Amino acid sequence: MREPTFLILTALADSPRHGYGLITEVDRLSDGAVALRPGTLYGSLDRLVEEGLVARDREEVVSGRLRRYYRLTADGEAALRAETERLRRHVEAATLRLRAARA
Amino acid sequence: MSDPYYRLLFAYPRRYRRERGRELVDMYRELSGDRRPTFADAADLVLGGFRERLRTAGLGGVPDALPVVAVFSLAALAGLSVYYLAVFEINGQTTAYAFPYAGWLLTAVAAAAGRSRLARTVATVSLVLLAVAIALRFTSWPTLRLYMGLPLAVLAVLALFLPGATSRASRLAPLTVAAAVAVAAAVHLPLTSPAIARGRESLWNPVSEYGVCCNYQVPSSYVMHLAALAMLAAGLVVAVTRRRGSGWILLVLATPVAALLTMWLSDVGAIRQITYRFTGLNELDAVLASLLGVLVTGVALPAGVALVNAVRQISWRTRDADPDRDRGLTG
Repeated sequence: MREPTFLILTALADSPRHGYGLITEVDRLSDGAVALRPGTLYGSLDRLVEEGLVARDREEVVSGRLRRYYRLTADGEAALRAETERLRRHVEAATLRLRAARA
Repeated sequence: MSDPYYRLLFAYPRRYRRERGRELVDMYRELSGDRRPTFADAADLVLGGFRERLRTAGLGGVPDALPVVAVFSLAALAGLSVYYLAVFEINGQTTAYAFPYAGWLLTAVAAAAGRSRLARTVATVSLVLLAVAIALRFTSWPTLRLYMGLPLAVLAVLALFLPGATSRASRLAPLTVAAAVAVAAAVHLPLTSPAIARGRESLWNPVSEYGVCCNYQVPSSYVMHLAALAMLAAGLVVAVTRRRGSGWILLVLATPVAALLTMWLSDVGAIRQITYRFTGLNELDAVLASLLGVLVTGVALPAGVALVNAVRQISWRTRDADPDRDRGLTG
């Protein structure tokens, strides 16, 4: 899983978000390292919807602007869990080795 | 529709614009605080539209494959640049191509240093310099024949898709290839081309003129042949080791490989008979042969893949729709 995809799924893990909310949340999660642009974000979102990891949620209009919300599906949650577990194993292996190197 | 952001949606398919246009434009306005679109906004929307069109055409894997092929293309350009500069350009056969060669080497340095945005800018400038070098063929300035420019142009366009954040290996690959060719040139690695009598000379001190004529046997076009084989071999290795998208990488890679390889098709009797009737010039024969190769791999092949995907999608939909229809009939 590529970093932007991982961050988009992570941003959707606690609650559904709309496009603008997703961009700011991914920016916050990555400490500004991953700055998604709307065209790129929508490309990723469409792919994730097609793969069944993300689904469209409700729509609302706030001060004349259309906001469409996206949420994580059960498959999306499973994919995020699997990826998190995989990354956790890598982090643990690296931490152990670094600790051994220092000792 | 007079909104500047709406106008930038032109690259998207019409149906997508109708369904998602407002959402996308409103998000841009919310992000930008109602200022006018910048160049980066325009690039994002045009590329987003291009990506969406490929996706709806069943070629959704192409955008992810482009950055990989861009690294391969820049590596090939860097290697070829070192060869042409070392063997021809600094040995009295100086042409306008020296400028784009220098540009691609700088691009490789910028990519190796992790300055991906700078690398893409230098790659763009190099492409412009190459276009000038190709156009100079229509004047009396010293430049190469057109069939040398076409394969380089295909690689140069692909190199524009260099990835932003990427692995250390792909950042360093182009500069490593350039360094390896420089070492090979310095030690005169015993390499020959089919046109060179074995034992007498090598690729490093060719007798034939720079870019002389249209087959792959003379040193200056034989190295393109070698570059194509190296790209193909590297592509196969990457395809085998990757978990996803390897087919797309090979599909996109076919175009630069064909551009570098198909010049010699103009020497095939049947093709020559047809092209020569149109052009009457060896130089244009070779250009037509390369163009034919690029059209087959860059247009006909992806169109075939899109068609196969469309047929598969229709058959999936019919299969998925069947149980619903049955339920509808019984319920």
